[in-house]
Amino acid sequence: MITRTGAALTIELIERQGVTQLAGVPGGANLPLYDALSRSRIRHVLARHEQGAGFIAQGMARVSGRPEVCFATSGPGATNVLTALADARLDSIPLVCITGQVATALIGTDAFQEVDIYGMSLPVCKHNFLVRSADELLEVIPAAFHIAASGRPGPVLVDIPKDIQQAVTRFAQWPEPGLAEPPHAAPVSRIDAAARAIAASRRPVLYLGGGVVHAGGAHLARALAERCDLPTVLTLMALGVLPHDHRLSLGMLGMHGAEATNHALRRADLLIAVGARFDDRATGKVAEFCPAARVVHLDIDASELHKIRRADFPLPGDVTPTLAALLERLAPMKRPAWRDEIRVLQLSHPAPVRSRGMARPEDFIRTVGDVVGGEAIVTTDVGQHQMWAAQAWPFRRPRQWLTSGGLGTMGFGLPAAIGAALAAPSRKVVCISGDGSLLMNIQELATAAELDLDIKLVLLNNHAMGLVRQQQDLFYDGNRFASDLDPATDFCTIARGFGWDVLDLARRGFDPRALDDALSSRGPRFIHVPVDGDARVYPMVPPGGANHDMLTETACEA
Amino acid sequence: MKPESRERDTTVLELVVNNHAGTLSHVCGLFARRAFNLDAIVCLPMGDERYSRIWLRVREIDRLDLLENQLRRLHDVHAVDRSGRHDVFDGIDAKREDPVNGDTTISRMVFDADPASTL
Repeated sequence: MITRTGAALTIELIERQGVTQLAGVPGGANLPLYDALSRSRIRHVLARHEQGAGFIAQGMARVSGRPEVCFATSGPGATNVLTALADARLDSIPLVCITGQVATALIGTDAFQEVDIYGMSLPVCKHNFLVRSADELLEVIPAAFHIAASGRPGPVLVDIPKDIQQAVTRFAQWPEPGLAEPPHAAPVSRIDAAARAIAASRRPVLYLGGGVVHAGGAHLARALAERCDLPTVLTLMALGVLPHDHRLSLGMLGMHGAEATNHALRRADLLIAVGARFDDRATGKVAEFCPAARVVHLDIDASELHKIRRADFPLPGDVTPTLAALLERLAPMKRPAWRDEIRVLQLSHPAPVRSRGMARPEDFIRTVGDVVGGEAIVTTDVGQHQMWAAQAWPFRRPRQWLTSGGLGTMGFGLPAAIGAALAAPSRKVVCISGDGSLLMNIQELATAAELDLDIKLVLLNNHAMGLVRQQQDLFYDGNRFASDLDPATDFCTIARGFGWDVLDLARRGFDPRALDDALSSRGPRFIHVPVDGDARVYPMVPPGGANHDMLTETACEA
Repeated sequence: MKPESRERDTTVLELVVNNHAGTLSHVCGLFARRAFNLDAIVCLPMGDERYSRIWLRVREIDRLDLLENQLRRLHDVHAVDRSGRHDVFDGIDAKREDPVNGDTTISRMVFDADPASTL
């Protein structure tokens, strides 16, 4: 028989899942776990806030595609990590979060640092467990990894009371690690029908979402686009699935998508949605989204089908085998008339020309992207800088782009960058952030400096929560309220205080050589970039409006 | 509302679920966070006590299909069926003439949670 405490058993089961590093913060109710962790081969990354730990694990999972782990203690530790779990749920990121809980006998007594994190995490997790005995861990831990990775990935919370971490259990053999269920294709008859619809359509658009990335299906999505000559739009979560300069890429759709792209969608007669969920930021007013199109909808999560838009050809199944089956049924075809029609739209609504430098924040982002190249990973926070990055970064590959899409969590970028650097130590990681967002998890500057990670933090500083201010300017009669941030905050001094090397372009002006040096050096570098407080993200679809009614720079700034 | 008219607007979802603490929270939470009222609930363990059967009497609304699909997505839910009505609710009623002092009468016939259909 094998004898272990609940804590040692938990750590060994996590090790047996192949986990080599995890992020967390210790506290009273998870100290037995930490004691056991200190004796394991797993590398522990000490975050400075549990939300940081959650996003570090997310950064690792978004890069590796496997479930990654974060630890938090009971009470405030657990509530702090909740935002990162909700974020993982909305972006379908596999995560296993293990929280310490007060001892079983104290549950429900308002004990010190007790909250019902099981109950609180119910609506924001894919699944959750409250462990009631040490031997239950043999089942629960592998199940947590299995659930997090299977089908549509998501976060799983395991709440372990302290007495169960300390209890001793005996068992005969180790359970098998929890793995993702093997993928399955949609039913054959439905694939046949969808293939016929694709072949027969005259104005098809391929609409790719984050599910394509999660499923590892980017190469098949690209093959389908190329074989059937399908103009392709990408959601925020799918950026990188097609290289930004691919001849069929129309870039991002929706609220801040290119004008020509949204107009092309309006003319589509068939929309082929793959791993996308018709999010309101992508569709705009749903009734006016692709009004003339029939819909093929491929998704692993059957509850996404017909949720927002009725699918004429619903394909419940994994992206990868279903796309492969579609490809088998489709012969190469050309659609010159439709491509010409789109080219005319692009000529009449031209995309902005990017120039090197920092005249505009988009230009600076593109400049950084060109310097670091396609192998680098880019993370963002949330706001104007995120949308500028989505529009201007030269995307080359899936899993290159880490952004908080569904929940839109300010504070995501820096800890996610730390996770990315841990998961892919040979790649350079760039974090594009804004001053409002950075302040929300600024304590993780300490984590990155301690680990000496190869992270370049580009802070676009406009002394404001820019996207809030932009909405106040455009939709609230210019009533700027509670969106300005104190211009006296000295981010460069703060970064130096945390041990970062700083390049301050506010002081030096645009200096290409200094920028190249900062980006190509190894280790954490903080690049401070001044941004005009009146710069806006264009085009913009007013919230609730139809995608073809975009506010453009030409119209608004005239 | 009279029972007959109430039943006309409602439908019954029959679920096979894991029989452990928390399953009911997952199921009810799905309805509660959409402000969707559950008209009546019956939950009984099945012959194999690892599983339970839950009957939910709910209003028939447009979004019920979505809720049904989202129920299927829950890890603890193994099966979801919908039927217009179900005799598990026959003869069960919560009557309280006087909400403070009156007595509550719940009368029930014997019901087997583990009929022909299984997992």
